[in-house]
Amino acid sequence: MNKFLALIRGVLLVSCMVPAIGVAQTYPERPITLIVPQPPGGNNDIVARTFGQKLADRIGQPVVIDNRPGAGGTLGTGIAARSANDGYTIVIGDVGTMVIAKHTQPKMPYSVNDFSPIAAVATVSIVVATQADSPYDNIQDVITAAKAQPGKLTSGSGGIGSTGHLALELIRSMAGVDILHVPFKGGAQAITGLIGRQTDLMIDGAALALAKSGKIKAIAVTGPRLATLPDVPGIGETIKGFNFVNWFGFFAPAGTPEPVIEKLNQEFRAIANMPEIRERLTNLGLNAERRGTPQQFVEVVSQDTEKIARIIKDANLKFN
Amino acid sequence: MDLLANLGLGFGVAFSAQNLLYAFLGVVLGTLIGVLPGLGPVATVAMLLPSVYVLDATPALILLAGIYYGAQYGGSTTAILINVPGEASSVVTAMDGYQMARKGRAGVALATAALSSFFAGCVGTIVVAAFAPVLTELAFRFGPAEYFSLMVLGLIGAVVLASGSLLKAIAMVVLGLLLGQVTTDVITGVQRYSLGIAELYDGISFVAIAMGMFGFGEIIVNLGRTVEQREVFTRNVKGLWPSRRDFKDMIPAALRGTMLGSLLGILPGGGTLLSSFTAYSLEKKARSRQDEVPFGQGNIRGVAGPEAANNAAAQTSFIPMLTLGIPPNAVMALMVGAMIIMGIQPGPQVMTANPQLFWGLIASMWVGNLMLVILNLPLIGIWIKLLTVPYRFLFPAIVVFCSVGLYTLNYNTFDIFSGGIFTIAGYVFHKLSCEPAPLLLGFILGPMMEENLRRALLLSRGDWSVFITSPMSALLLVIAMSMILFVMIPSISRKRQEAFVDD
Repeated sequence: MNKFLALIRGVLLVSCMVPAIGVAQTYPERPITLIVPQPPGGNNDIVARTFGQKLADRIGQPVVIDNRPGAGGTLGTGIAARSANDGYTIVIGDVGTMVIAKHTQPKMPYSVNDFSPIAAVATVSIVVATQADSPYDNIQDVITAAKAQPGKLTSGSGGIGSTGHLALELIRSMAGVDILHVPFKGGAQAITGLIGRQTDLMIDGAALALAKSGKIKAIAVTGPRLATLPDVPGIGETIKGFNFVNWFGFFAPAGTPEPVIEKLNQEFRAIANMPEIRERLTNLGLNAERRGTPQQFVEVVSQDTEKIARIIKDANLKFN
Repeated sequence: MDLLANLGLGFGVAFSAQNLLYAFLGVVLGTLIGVLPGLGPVATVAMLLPSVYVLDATPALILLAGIYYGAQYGGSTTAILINVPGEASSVVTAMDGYQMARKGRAGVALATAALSSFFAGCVGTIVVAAFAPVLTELAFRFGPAEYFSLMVLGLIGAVVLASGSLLKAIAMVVLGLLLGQVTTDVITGVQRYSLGIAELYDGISFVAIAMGMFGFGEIIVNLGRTVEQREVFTRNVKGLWPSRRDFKDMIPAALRGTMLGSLLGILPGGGTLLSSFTAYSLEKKARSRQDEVPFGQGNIRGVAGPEAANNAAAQTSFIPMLTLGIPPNAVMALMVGAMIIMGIQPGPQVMTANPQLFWGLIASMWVGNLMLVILNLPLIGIWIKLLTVPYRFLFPAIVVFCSVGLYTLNYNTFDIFSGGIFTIAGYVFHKLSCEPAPLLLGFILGPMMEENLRRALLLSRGDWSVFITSPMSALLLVIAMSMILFVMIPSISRKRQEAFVDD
């Protein structure tokens, strides 16, 4: 009995001396809700479920996936922003909801400052594809053709203000070419449009699966080469300085205790380092992101915020 | 002979004890969620995802596919019994199916739906197995101009749907088109008529409109009657099984519906819905017997045709996913996600790289359809019993289930409130004897039509001639024009009024 009391006293003493560690030690005491502001089945959902499941195994508490789709992801992200900042509600974010949305949505229910970034877990370069028998084999062919006949080439995307659309705008302004943007309702429709020869090109992550099977031809990716398509060059290898990358990362409402953020960050990074997870991400066409501390992620977000604002300003895009 | 060998391989896979079990589990679950109004397959599949991800790819896909067509099937049960279309494509079934139920022919209506669906499902499966690659190519020929013309034809067909006044039908279609304008514009990204409400950025929920106008609206109408008149269903239940004459009416309708559905199902987005509406219009136009029950009052062909069409379409809508990995709807997007998680790259190579999976799934579709019939025919007796429950117990249950269903659409109470608003609208329309079906069709087709019109003009750089230079588009527009002429010729239109206005 005395020993037991001594143990308790010892624990209390230690936890008083290092209160910050104390929070991290007791956290989590109950299930964590992971909001996915997209409907089930897409990349955001799969990434969230993959990491959520592993996180639950590691911390011994259930991680409840809560799909809250609507309004281009801003509905669910807004719910996360207004949740208690105790570490029991987190949300998966990407360039779309955290950076682009404030330009495309008239009434944003949150700003990126309402969140504490936890960790980026995956990055993705967007695939630029064309028909399998198209005369364009690389981005230089496309630029040459577009310069020869301005405004004649067309490029589909998953929608107005999608990452694929903004990548096209960046190509237009950096290469000084005129390519008509054709928005579709989602990447799957954009593929149908490409194979049906309605458009000459498409820029959307959905192109990946068919590009791998050879039904359409991937001619470039918008950022670093993808692990799953090692032979497809980045546009930056042709247009110096070109880089456009989408990322997936986890966010907590602003003001979530620092030790909780640290703990989740370490867990997510450890999960991203697991060989099976990296393989699964590769299958999805993503590159596992293993470096990011919360501070580095904050920087990534703020750099992208500036970059997207510049693209939209340069292209003179108006969404409302 | 390759086909037979492949199907043999597929049936070998599908008939393994494990896969039979998952197919059965899938169709049972699917039927259940289909019968619970509003609880759609997407919400269910999402709930099951964690457990699906741990299965092998083949049983996982068989399970998901079973849920998908099981739900399609269960949706028509509620449409017939309580006038609540569980799925968009069962809206049409509700029109005549519910009237049949009220006249004591619920058993016949359910059996008709079951048998027509089974037949169409079998044909659909064969179409998928034999013609998948050919049909995929055909679907790609359908560009925005062709889509637009098809939608025009569909909308004009919607007017034919109405059994009452022509003017009111047109008004309802137009109202549906206007409601469809509430959304984010695909081409410019501008939010229209959203009143700053984030929930309206993606448009009004179809289920909220359908449930409010059909299900809840009907309840208010029934409660408005005195207790003596309120008994909605006649006690005098006539036979559970279709008579010989019923079969005679049903079979040609099911055949026509199957053909239409198999073709339209391959078009991504709304293929199943479009096919059931088109099948209904076709049945109405097809020659009828003198003494047949008018459409809108419980005509058996109005159940058989659309049911066959939507089930055939449900099967052939797998084609773009199977041959290319392009998911045409939300459930299939989940299936593609499941494949990726399991390390299978969806796309044309699935057929050669994973033949067990590909042909096993196709064979399991047929097995699943058979299971549905075996499961549902004995259930008809139980469903009929449900109708003998006094209305004062039945309607609160319907309201509760529908509200739960509405909530699970997006886990958002907003959808319940919008369902409530459309309930009032539905009641008003009932008082004005305006039918909701043309409104729903306008609501669904309108945005698709507009989107394709805009995209066609964007691609043609504003040249309107694309709609007639494409042969397929021109043909569809010519058919649409001749339908307008047909309605406008006074003598025919007078005849139409005689035939449909008076009860």
